[in-house]
Amino acid sequence: MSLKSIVLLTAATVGVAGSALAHHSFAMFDVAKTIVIRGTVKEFAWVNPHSWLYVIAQKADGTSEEWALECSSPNMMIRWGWNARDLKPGDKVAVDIHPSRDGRHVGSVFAVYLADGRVLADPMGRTGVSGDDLARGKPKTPTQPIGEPLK
Amino acid sequence: MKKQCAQRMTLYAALLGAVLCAVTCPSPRAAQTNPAPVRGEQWSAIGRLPDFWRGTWFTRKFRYDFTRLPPLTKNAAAAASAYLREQTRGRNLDTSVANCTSPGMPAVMDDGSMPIKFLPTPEMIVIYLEGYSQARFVHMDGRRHAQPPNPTFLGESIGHWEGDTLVVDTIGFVPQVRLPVRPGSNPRAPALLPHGPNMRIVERFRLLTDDTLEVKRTLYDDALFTQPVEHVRHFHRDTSREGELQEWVCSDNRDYFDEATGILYYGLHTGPTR
Repeated sequence: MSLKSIVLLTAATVGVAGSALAHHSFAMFDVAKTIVIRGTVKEFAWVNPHSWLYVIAQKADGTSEEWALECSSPNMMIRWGWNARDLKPGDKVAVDIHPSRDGRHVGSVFAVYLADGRVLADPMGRTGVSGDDLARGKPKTPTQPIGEPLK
Repeated sequence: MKKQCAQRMTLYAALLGAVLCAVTCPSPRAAQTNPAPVRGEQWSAIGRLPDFWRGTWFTRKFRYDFTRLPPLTKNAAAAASAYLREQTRGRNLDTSVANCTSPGMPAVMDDGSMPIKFLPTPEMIVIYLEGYSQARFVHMDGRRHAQPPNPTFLGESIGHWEGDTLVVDTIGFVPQVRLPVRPGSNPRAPALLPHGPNMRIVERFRLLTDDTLEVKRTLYDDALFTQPVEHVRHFHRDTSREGELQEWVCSDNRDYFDEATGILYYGLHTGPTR
C-alpha cells in the first residue's frame, strides 16, 4: 500500500468520538467489527501522541497487503507493559483491530499477539474500557486473537 | 562659586559615606549569607504542608466528564445544537488538539492515563502535566492577577492555603480553549465550544486520604452558562516506577488535521522507512 493510500478522508464517517482521551476522533473506526491481522511487522513507530504499527498482512488467498494500525501514546503503553523493542521489522504478529469504516487498510489496535506467546494490550483502542484500565496496570486482555480473519 | 561649593559638598558627602560604609555596611559575603535562615525556613515550611508532593497523581477518568451542567445561555445552546447537528452528519469536528495543541484548562489536567505532579517552591507551586508536557505555575507569593493577564492555554494561576486546602484562582485563557457543553438530551460526547472572555476557574485541592486528592472546581463562564459549573474530580497517588513522569513529545505526531478542510490525515510516515 502506498503512502498516499493511507492518507484518509474521514468526512464520510459517522458517529461520535470513540475515545474522549485521544487527540482526534476515533469515529473512523468501526468498533462493531473486530478483525485479526496476521503478518509481518514492516515498521513500528513508537511516537506520541499515537504509535503506529505497519504490518504486511497475509491474506487467506495467499496475497498480502499493508495495514497501518494505530495504537495509543507510548506513555500509556509503557504503563500497560509495552516496550519500544517489543516489535521490530520482520517479526511475525497477529493484531486484533477495529477496522476503518471506509474500507481502507487502517485499524485501531487493541491487542498484539507476539510469536513468543506474549500479548500486548492497548485498551484505549477498544470500546468499553474503564478509567482504571486506562490509568495503569495490566488491563484485561484476551489470550488469543478474537477477530474475524482478514478476507 | 556657588557651583564649585556644591561640587565640593558632594565630594565630601561621598567620602564620608565611603568611610561610614567601611565600618557599618555588610561585606558582600555577609549580604549573601544573611537571608539564609529565612530562606531555609521557607523551604522547611513546605514540609509542614499537606503532602501533595510524593509520587504522581492519576485521575483515571475521561476528560470532559462534567456531568451536571447548569442551563446554557441562549447563544451557547444554539452553538451546541449546531455543533451536534454537524457531528451527527458525520463532519469531523477535530480541532488543532489533533495537531498537538494543548486543550488548555481545565481539560489538560484530566488526561486519565497520564499523571500530574505537584512540585513546591516557596514562591510557587508547579503542577507538571505529563500530557502535553506542560507546567502550571501557581504563584503563592500573595500577588494579584495582572490587569489583564496575557492569555495562555493554562491561564494565570494564583494560589493560597485555607487550612489544608490549596485554593487556586485562574483567569486569562487563549480563545482556543474549549469547554464541554451538553444541551438537552445529554448525548454521549459533548459539544466542545470556545470559552467566553470572562472564564475563571477556582480549584480547591485537599487530601481526602493520604492517597486520594480531591479537586473541587467552580468554573465561571457567563458566555456559556447561566450559573457557575461545579465539578469534583479525584486523583489517585501513584508511587510506583511505572507511575513516574515520562517525556511526552507530541510534535512527533504522525497525524495531521487540516482545519480549513476538516480532513484528518493520519498514519503518515515520517520515520526512517519513508
